Amino acid sequence: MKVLVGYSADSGGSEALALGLQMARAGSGSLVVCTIVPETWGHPSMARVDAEYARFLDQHAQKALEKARIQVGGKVPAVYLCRAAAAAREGLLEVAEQESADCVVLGSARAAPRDHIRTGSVNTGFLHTAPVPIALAPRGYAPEPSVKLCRITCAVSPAAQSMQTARTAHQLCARLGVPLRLLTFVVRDRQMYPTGAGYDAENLVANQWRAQASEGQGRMIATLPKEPGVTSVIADGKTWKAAFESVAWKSGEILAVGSSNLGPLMRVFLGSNATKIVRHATIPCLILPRQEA
Amino acid sequence: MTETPALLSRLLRKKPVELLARDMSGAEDAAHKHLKRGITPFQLTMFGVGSTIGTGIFFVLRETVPTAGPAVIVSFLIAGLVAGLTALCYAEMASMIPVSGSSYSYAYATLGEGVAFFVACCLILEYGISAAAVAVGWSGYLNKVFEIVLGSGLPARLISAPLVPDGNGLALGGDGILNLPAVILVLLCSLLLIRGATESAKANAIMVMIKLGILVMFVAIAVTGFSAENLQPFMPHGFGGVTAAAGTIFFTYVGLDAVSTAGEEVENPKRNLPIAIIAALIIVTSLYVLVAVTALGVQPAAEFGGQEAGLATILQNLTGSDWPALVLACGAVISVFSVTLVVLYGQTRILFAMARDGLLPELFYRVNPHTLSPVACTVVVAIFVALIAAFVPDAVLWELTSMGTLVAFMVVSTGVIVLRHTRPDMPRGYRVPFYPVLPILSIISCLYLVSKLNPATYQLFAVWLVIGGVFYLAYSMRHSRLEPAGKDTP
Repeated sequence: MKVLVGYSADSGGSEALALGLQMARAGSGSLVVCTIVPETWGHPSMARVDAEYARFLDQHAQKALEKARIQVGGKVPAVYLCRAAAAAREGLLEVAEQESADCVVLGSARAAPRDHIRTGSVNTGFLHTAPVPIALAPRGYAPEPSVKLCRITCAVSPAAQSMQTARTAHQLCARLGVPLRLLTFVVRDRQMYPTGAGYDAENLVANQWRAQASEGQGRMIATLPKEPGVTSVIADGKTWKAAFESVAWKSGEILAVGSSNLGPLMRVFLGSNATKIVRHATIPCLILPRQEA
Repeated sequence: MTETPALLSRLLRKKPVELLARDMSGAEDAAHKHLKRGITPFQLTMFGVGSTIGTGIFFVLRETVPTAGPAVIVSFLIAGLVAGLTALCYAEMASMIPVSGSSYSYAYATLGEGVAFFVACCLILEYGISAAAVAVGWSGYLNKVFEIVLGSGLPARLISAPLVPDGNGLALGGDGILNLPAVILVLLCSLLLIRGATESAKANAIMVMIKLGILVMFVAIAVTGFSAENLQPFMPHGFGGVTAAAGTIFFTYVGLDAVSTAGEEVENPKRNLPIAIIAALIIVTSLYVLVAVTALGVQPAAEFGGQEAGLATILQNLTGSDWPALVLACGAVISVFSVTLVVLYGQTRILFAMARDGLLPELFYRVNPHTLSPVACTVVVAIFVALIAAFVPDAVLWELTSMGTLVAFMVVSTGVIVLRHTRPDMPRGYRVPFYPVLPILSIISCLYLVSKLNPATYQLFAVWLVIGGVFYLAYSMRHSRLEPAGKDTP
């Protein structure tokens, strides 16, 4: 498995690299660490000022990649690249295609609270165009070097295209040699006030949803291949945060979510529920592109 | 009929309280059971005021002043009194069950499936029909806003119903083709419900402030043009007119039962439930009476009939300027929107609960995995309510709502008496004072108001009950979750 890390010489870069490293180690894969620098003007100018700038950029990139090399420390085979592009997203997409990467890892936007993921200019653009799974490291992600990727939890619902997501996640698990866990969220944050239908009316809906969810998970487990093992869990809480906390998470676990079915085929596009899940996640997230059903 | 004994036992079977509690249980019930009592008496009063005001005071004078004359003030007091009595009885029944639900679920747990189904039929009138009625009233105020802002309103053909009450039934002959704004409102609210919109306690408080604000503004402005002459003759159609109007006006108190259903969620229900019910009732009734008195003081009783967006029009005529009317109409448009949302919500959740109990097809309780809301149920409700709002005139809708609500409350009040005999030991968080006088008074007063409703309303109600009864016998009875396993149920 070839993991492409979009690297920069800041904490976002090292968080992304830490996650990429973890994934590459699990599947005995390799890393491509890539730094994107701004494109300089193609035509040489009279005073060659742009050459000076290009040199500066190059030095900067080499320094960044040197830092990455230290972090990787030879634990996995890695290639270090520097690419000039008009936009970071564009450069990364190009590299991902050339290197035929299986997955792209990015850091969270710096606006995220600690341990959370927010999408910023780079990863939002990427989320709308990437043809490969994207892993996002939460802000401040710094796992112990000994921690290995140990499980993928896949957020599913009983909807039809969730089955495809689960299948994709399961194939990924098989390649990485880790078990899969199916997760469905039941969030009880919708009670209407005032109401003559009772102040617990929404629990009735949520409990029904819970029943449908475990039924759906059972169906998915029955259709997925036996190996690697699949378990299921339901995250149930009054808020998204509480629901997230109601489930036990291992260190070295990542959460996979599927793209919305509104987006184009084979592309990543976060739907409203997936966006909420990613927003509230406190572990790395892996966003899977939509596959043909 | 060899099935008779089985039918009787089916009608009388009760949903176990444990099952009800399991259906309604929250995420962390085991660990945090005692944290649930979170509603304060003040909040509860606000819920009562919030869900009550908006279901009618903005529109109901048009229909009732011609019937009762200035004595409509007395009609408001009578209706308020009846609403208070029934709300107290309802509170006792609600407090017997440790979970908050609708009167349908309380009846199912205490009085049996047959009564519960009957109550549910009435509740569909209380919610579904009143949602349509409120939407129709809303369309009048929206049109008023258009009139003031754009200079001309919507074409008359698009804002009124084609059906008119005709003797004992409905007949074609209205000026309109359909009531378009009402349909749009219902569809918009349903769309929001499908998307999973909720109204928080905080949003309710804001809506309460808007409603109180515009009504107080109305009273304050209208009082300047008060002329006591308009109140003469006080009772042109005698006391009969007053009580007939009270029957229709009862509709404006629908929503007060939102307080009773809070049951176990409020701290110290024994003390706080009656306090909240009575406080909400006093606030609502005083406001209604003040609005009615000042409106009557400004405008002779004869001019109320057929007046769309009545309160705004009165302000416009009185002040000669548009802005107070515009403020009032805008406030009404915003707050009635939220009332429609809440009422439609109640309707979908009651149907959801019934479907969950097996009394309605599974379609009604499927939760959509994308929106996490019962989409099919909401769509069905939206279509029915929108059709009714489009084609049926509001006067008929108000009476039907009053009918459904009054009958449901009669059942509840009777239930309180029955349960004191059959289940005397069952713990009750709240007991009705002056038993058995108060429940009996509640039943009698409901009966009295019901007897004053139009014959057409009776016919529609009877048709509805027959449809409900046939459905129960043909479907619900056999598919109930309480049906012994292995017979007809899957």
